[in-house]
Amino acid sequence: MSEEHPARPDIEAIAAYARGELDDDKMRSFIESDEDAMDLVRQIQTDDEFLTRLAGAWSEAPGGSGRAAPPPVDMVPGYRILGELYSGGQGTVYRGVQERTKRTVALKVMHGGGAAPAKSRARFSREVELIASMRHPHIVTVYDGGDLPDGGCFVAMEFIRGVPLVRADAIDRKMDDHTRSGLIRLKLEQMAKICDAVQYAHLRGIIHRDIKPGNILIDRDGEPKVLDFGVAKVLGAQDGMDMTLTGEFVGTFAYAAPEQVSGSSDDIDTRCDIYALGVVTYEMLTGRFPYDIAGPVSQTIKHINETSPVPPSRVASGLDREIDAIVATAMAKSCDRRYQSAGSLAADIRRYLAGEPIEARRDSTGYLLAKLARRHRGPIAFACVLMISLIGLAIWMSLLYVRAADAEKQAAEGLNAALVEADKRASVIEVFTDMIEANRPERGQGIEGREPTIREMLDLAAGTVEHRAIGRPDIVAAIQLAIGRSYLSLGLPEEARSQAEGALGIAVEFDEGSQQVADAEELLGWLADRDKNFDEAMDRFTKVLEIRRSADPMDPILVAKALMAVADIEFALKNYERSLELVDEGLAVLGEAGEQDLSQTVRLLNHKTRLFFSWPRETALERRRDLDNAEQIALTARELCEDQGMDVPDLITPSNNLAMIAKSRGELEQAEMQMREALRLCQKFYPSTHIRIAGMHRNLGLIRQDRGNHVMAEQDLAQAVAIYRKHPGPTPRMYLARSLVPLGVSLLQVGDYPAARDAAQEALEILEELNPGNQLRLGLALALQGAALVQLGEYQAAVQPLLAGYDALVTAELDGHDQTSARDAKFKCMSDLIRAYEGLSMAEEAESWRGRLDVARQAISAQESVE
Amino acid sequence: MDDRYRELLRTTTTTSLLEGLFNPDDEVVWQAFDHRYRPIITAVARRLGLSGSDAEDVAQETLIQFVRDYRAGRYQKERGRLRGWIVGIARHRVIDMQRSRGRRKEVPGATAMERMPQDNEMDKIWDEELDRSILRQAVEELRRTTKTSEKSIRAFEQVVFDRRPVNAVAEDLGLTPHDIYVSRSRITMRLREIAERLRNLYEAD
Repeated sequence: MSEEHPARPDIEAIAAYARGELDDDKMRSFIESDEDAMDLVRQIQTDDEFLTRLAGAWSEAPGGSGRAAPPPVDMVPGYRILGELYSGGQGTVYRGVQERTKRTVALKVMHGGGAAPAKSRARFSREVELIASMRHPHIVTVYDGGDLPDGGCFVAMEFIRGVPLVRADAIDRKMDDHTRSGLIRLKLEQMAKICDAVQYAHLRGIIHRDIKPGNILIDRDGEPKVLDFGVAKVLGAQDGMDMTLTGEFVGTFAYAAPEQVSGSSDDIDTRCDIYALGVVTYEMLTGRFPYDIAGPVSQTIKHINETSPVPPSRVASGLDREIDAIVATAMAKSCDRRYQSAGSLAADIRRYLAGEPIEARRDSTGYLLAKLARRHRGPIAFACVLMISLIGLAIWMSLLYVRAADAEKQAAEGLNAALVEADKRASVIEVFTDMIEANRPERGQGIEGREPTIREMLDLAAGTVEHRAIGRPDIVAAIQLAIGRSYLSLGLPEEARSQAEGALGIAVEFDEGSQQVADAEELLGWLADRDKNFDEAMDRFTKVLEIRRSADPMDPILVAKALMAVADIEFALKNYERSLELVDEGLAVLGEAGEQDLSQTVRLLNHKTRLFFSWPRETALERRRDLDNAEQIALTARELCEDQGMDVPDLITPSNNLAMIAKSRGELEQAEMQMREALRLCQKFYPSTHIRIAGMHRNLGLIRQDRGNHVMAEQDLAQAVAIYRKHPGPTPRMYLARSLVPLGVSLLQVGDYPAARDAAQEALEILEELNPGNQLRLGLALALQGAALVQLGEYQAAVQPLLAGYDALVTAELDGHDQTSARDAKFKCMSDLIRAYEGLSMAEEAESWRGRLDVARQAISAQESVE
Repeated sequence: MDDRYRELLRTTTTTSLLEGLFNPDDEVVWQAFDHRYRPIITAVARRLGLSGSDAEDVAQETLIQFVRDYRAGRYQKERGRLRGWIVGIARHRVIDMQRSRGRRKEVPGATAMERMPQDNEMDKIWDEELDRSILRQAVEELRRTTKTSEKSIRAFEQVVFDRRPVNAVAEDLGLTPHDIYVSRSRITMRLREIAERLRNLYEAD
């Protein structure tokens, strides 16, 4: 085969091309023009992928050969190794000299050839740069880091002559009081300095993840130095937990926070370091661990998650309740209850040392609500839970202390912005909890004699927000927005509006183009949408979109959300084309950003489904095409959701939509199956009285009604009605009416005429109040009322609603887009009128209506035969 | 017996091996099971920080305890995956081993309490080690059963495992680079097939 055809690219060139190593442009286009060569390229690429794995399995198998021999002195480029200091879980630490500076350093080495995942060079050096940028008197400085020829990596750091912080010299019961209190002070002073160091790192977005006495050195001057900041991450993989994957253990159980031992690594933020600082403090002061950790691992995890440590004051003498409170706060199981920064822990320790009152008063701060809810049953518990869930969405969750991951992202470009934001978030929580706490009924400022409702708590909060956050208008605005959203959720639009307008006023003065302005405009937009002031809503959402778009960095999720809001209004204004464009733009924005937020993508797809589903069309062909489109999009949405797992809340709407599409195609069995699935999911994720569950029951009822199963349909619709009745507000009330009418129809079918009559009556009252103009709905309700009365033999009473219903239905048939429903109901209405007149022995009227009914029917069948 | 052993390794699912394992006299089934899981357990133990010989001890103890528990009827398929059961045993052995070694000096109480990976991390470790073990077995089987010329195999091994340049290997063995790429492709395909089949055998895992 060596007599290669001259016109054929050389196999080596093809291989180089396949691996992206071919520099020769001419040869590249030559290969690209040759089909056979390109086949070879693809072959080599697929082979390479497999063979890389294979070669890895062969050479790296940990079960195979032993570890490398002792390292040569020049193992780390640029350094001379003098000797081994320590060999342990995280690799080996050598004493060495940097050749260039002659500086003595400690070299921490992670060898290659292990299973350490190769990380990108760029990322590695960025991280080393980040930790090397730290200069703090209580942090061991990192100088340098890099790759090793064997695929491993190293970090060079300040060589400290010191001893690890140990508890051997912990406070002893036998000491005299003077010595003991001196030692306690010394330990606490050291702890405060250690906290300063941790705070310094946290502000740079660096989490330690492995704080323990072994990582804290006491130098010859007695000053503490924290070791290995961020090193776990640089030498390991993503974070401390992942280090275990490289065959190493990070930290010991005793210092791991509950979220570290049981949560996913996503939950880990700066506050796991606060927890560890708490444990170290406990240990230093008492000479023992907070829990028994000698038992099995599962037992220790249980302790970490569940056991409250014995207060230090009961373990060692010379300690008091205030120390207990400080340690307990630092070590709180829930990270929200801990000190939110190492700085505030340091400050409290120093306050204690100075004899000032400490912040960690037990029974205060963030967990108050939860605790209140636990202590009380009934309305306040409900109020608290709702409060947390309503406001929670707005403040509680989103305003947690800035996660280090976020800070890190911004470390390079906008650290300051992150800090300001963090500060604001922390303050919002403080002010807010203060407010709630001050309004606690036990304090006499609440509502006399009974427990306050959410409404009242919101009112109190709204009334006091301004003087509780004096000098921080941004915080006032943030809280007002949260309260406003909560009001809206409670169906109190006026109160919501006043909060939103207040927030908008403040925010605009601050900075016209700020995200807070957009937040406020958005809330006002929802309110306008709710009142069907579509022009105003459009203006506001357009403004929101503008601000979101010009944000730097732009948040694609917020932009997509804003696009969707505008699309919604366009949809309401029946500008379907425009709405479709906006949704597609939203999808493009999210697509460009990578699939950052699946939920938002799914929401856009859902909107698009709804768009095609509701698009009024002239011809049946177009309608069919729309339904096909809607179905395709709903299927895509469902697929995206299913990638996340079988049961996710995002699946509810796609399932519901698929059911409704099947229903309008007349595939009723399929529709019922899908709808039952949607209802099941909904019941899994929402409380039983949630409005979405009502919607699912209603839709299922409508499908079953179509199938002629009125017994089941009646139950579904009755459930929907029962839930809608619990919800105030025009939209739920409207849906209540729209459930009552079909419920009445099924009741009529199963023979419960009085109930059918009452359902019609209730529906009519609601319609009159909310939407007197809709002739189809009005006609259906009136016809139902008449039909029920006919069944009950109340012919006289039946005539009037039947006549009015007939008129409404004729009008609806002429201009409405659901002509079939209107027509069918009209025929039914006419038959009932005939029965009513017959019942009243008004033969002439009955005869006249019978004639009209015949004519109408003939007209239809004539029309149909033409079609 | 040798043939039966080979055959068990090549074609018998773990589920069937487990059935055979009930018979204490069937040494061959036991050997096949051992061959299938020992390398994975050893590798997992090493990944948990044990040295080579400690990891081998852990694998030994784990397998022995597993078969003892299994024959005593303590493993039920419905209750979870086989790997979960094995990992559970190995985890305890690893902790015991660490405890007895007392690796850490500074915090005596915490020595044995090194953090163990969570289940999902263990799953990942297991998957990676399983993958490796399968690939290694595939190569072994290829060497045993191949009809490809000895020369091609040698060329393949030198290029893939020793990472020698194709040119140099070609020259040494008297082949053209093109030959090497072609046989490389063919052998890769064959290995994929073997690996796929072996992977299916672990289905109960």
